Amino acid sequence: MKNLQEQLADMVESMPAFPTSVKKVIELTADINSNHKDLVKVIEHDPIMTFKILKLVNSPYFGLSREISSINHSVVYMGLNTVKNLAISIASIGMLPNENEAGLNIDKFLYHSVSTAALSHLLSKQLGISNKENSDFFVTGLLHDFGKIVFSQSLPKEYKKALYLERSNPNRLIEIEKNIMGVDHTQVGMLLSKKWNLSSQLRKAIGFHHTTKSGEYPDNDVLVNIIFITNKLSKELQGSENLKSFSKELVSDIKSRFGNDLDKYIESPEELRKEIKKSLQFLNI
Amino acid sequence: MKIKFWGVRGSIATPKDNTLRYGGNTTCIEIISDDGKRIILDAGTGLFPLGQQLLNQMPIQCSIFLTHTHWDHIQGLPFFTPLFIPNNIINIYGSFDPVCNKSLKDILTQQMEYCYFPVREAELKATIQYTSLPEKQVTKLGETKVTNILLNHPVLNYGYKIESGNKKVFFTGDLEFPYNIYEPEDDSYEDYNNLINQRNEIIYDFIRDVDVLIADSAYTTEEYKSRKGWGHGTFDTCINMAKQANVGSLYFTHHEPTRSDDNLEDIFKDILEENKDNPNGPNYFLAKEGMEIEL
Repeated sequence: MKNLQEQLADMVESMPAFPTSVKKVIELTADINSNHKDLVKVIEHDPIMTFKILKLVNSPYFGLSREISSINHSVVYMGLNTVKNLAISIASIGMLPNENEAGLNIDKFLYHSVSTAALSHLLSKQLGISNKENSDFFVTGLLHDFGKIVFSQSLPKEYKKALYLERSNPNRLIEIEKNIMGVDHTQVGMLLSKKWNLSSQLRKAIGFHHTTKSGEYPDNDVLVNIIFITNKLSKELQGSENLKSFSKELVSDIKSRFGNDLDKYIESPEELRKEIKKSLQFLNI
Repeated sequence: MKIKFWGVRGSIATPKDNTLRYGGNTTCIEIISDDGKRIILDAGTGLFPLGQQLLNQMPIQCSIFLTHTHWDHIQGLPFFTPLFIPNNIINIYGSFDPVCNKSLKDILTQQMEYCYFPVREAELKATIQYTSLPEKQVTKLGETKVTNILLNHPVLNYGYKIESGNKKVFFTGDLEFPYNIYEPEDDSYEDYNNLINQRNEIIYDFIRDVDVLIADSAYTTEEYKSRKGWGHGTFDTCINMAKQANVGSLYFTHHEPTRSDDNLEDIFKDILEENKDNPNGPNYFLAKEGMEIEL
């Protein structure tokens, strides 16, 4: 009997990517003269394609001395044509259906993943983090909720129930997931990224993106703190088109995790929205 | 250590009167280590004449290291007569295929399927063992060491370093140094440049101080402009690599299939002229079919 980690990992192997990126990959790769960076942009805005490519490049087949945590790095390491053909083979699995039995809205999921990625990248720059690491922040933001999509595909009945219960108990999804499935989506994301040798920083940030209790998360880890905040920021921005200011709770979270370092951004939802828009254009959503 | 070139042509065999001096067979290099191990780098069409020559030494044991499985590097394999003869032991090493998730054995067996070749892999009489190598694996053959490093090409391509006695040889297989896919004004440009530089340093460190570097110099810098992304190096990228890594001698190979012997020699003359003021730099040679090097 396979354990849960192996069952979920097997399921991810056959999981198709998001329809918008599958269509774009097919379109771009049909033209020999298409722009390579456009293809890379599409891959790096799709959590499923990104996870699968990072999984392969970090696999024991490649005796890497350090983890590869971005698509650009994967391209420099494995070569453009190999990454391109990996994207084609992922695209050939098919497309994630718009409707799934669990009732997880995949457009909203993708929007949230990409916007969390874009915000994480932006805020890491604001905090003076080096260019080299900015892309790691983007990738972690993109993958932070990966466990949800895995649940929706592998345990659709159970996850449907969890999402139903969440509606009447907002902000308690973690607890509900644990009650129904025994694990929550942060743990699943962490388990899979561990199995596939993704960086320990990324694993931590995925695993602690809902943890608030002092002492239960590494409070001096910038990536953990960023993903915790950008997950919330992105939800508030997605929740209301005309949002003029963030909730008091979020403002206080930002202050407690970053002091005044991110003040400028707390004041301007409009600026953040612009950044998200820039990222979403790669997927036409 | 002894090195012999059996095929120096790139991409496709070129049996023409104007390629006779340097040779028309595709990539195949034979190395005999100090302790007598026979190592064959790539199985292009040059492997056929090598196999013919080995027929009077049966049974043989040899290790074939494939840089990658594009046609010009494997086409000689089904025609390597020792594979058909019992008691020969032939070990074949190379990369797995991450795109189709195939082992080296699967890839090479497919090359001998019904549509492509009359004899199936299962019918070969020699004892054949296939090894899909992870990167930077050290393969020990007696006292000889062979280590592989991933290099940029439109398929996974391993360069191999062979160490025997106190001598070292490195063969690139096909190598195009990666270029930046972004424009200077793009956000990712600088990050990508850093990744490329970091990667190149790893390669230079890996081949530092080798006695002989055999490298893919398919194009001139001018020709390369319209062949970017095709996966091959230029004379200048090879010279730069040789200088950065402080190698003893550089042998240019993978000669472009439309290049005549006269043209090749004209290019080489210019290279020697351009690099004559570098007494401590590497020695330069054009790889030639039949050429032997003793270290």
